Amino acid sequence: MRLRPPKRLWAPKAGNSQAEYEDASRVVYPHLPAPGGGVARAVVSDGASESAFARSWAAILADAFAAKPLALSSLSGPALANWLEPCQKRWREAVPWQRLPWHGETKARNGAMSALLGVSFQEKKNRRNLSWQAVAVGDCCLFVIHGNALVLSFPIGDAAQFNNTPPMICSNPANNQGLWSRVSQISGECRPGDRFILASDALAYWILREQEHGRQPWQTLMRLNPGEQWESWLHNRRAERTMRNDDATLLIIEVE
Amino acid sequence: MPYTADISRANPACFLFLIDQSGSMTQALAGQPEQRKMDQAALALNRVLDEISLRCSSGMDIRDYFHIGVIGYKTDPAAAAALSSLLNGTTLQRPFLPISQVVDLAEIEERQVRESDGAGGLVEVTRKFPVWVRPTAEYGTPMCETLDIASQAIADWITQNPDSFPPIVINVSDGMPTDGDPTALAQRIMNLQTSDGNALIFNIHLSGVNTMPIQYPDREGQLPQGDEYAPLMFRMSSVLPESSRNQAASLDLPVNENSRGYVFNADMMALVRFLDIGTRAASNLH
Repeated sequence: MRLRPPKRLWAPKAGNSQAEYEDASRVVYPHLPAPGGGVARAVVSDGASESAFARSWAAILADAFAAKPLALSSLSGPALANWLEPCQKRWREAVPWQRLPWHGETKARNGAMSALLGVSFQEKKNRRNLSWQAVAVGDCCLFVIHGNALVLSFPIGDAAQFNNTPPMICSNPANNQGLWSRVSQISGECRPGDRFILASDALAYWILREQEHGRQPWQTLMRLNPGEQWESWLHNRRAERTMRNDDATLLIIEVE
Repeated sequence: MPYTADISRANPACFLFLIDQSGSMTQALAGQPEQRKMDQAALALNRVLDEISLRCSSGMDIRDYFHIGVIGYKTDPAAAAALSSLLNGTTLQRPFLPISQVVDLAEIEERQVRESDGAGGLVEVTRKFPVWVRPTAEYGTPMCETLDIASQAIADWITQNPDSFPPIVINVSDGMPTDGDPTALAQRIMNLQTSDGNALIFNIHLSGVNTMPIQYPDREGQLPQGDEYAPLMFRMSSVLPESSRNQAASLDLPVNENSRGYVFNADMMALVRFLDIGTRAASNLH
């Protein structure tokens, strides 16, 4: 069993430049199985557009998960706070506090917010099979597809649960009270033919809506390639208002 | 479904604020002898503009998701309408500026405020407060003339932004028009529409009548007794769109499908917060 090379698609909100894209995604893919039991990781984060310096916060969180994923076996509130501490320090150092305009001062004091979805894959002891575990705060979603069936939608199970005030991780520790209770975790075994889809919220909402209408949106997503085809497809979904105009990020990883 | 248009730079939304600067606005607010209506009007407007600016701020930059206009209205001593477009560089015919330019027009005042120190105590700190509008008030209340001018500006804006979220007019007044009944002119604005729905008029009614503040009533029977202008202002107010009702409900405000964008001596921040420009930033704070 091994993971095929991942596919990554992303685009900023229509009307915004690529420099204003506030999602982030990372894939660590060391060609499993690697000697000594390699670990693959995939992460999507989504900086809240109404917070300041959200782009850098989302990128810092994604980098941190790619470098050192949150391990479910030892995850706790204090462990999460410890994991976040260097991220928050990096964010504070990245903010140009002395050059902030008046509106930026208030915003930066409150801190940046981001959703986070991280998935890590491990080799099992038999060196042939793989297991996975996922952790999420907010509305970036993991979909696991087997055959043509959606076997998991995590952490949000149906489209009606989406709103514009999802739980978030804040770069200001003072605004993370209650964060631990908003962390979702799940794990499972990989099967050949499984497809793991990680999506930021606008895409995740579209996937669930399509699925709830009896369609198989992953078929469409599997066929999309980076570049004009993806951009044109995204433009059309936004134009017909089946997808919210927001940053869009998609990672697809297949098990074979 | 109306009132669901995405708000983006390509598809901005707009607010046109109408601020009553007539002589009656020098009177005290109910229960607050030291606070004149004109002080409260300026305070309310500055707070709302601050809120909109912060929502559009990415830290260093402002995203132009909104166009803003501010029209002050009063008369001259001879009772002729004296309207002015209060944002520098604008006219009554073209009152709108993108929010990034509005932000640059703010005068910044530094004030000492007490804030939580994060350890259960309070600490005094210096904070910046933006000011766009100063209190001023004299002579009559040409509300009809103002709505007529607003209607033309809104119609022009819609021509240039036909698929945007419908324009929102927010009128801050004590509701004593001196140039006739403005109801039909308000209705004319409400009849203007983008492909996403009809223009909306919300009213912030400032009154000296000492009664309970009221937010988003759904019928005239809920209005305060003793202010003869409350029914007029209520009738000039749009029914809240669903997204606005949802936002009000999330703030525990009692609203239903007939609730209107009318507040009596109360704040209307929910009405600028309901517009969806992206993921909110405060979910862990509540």
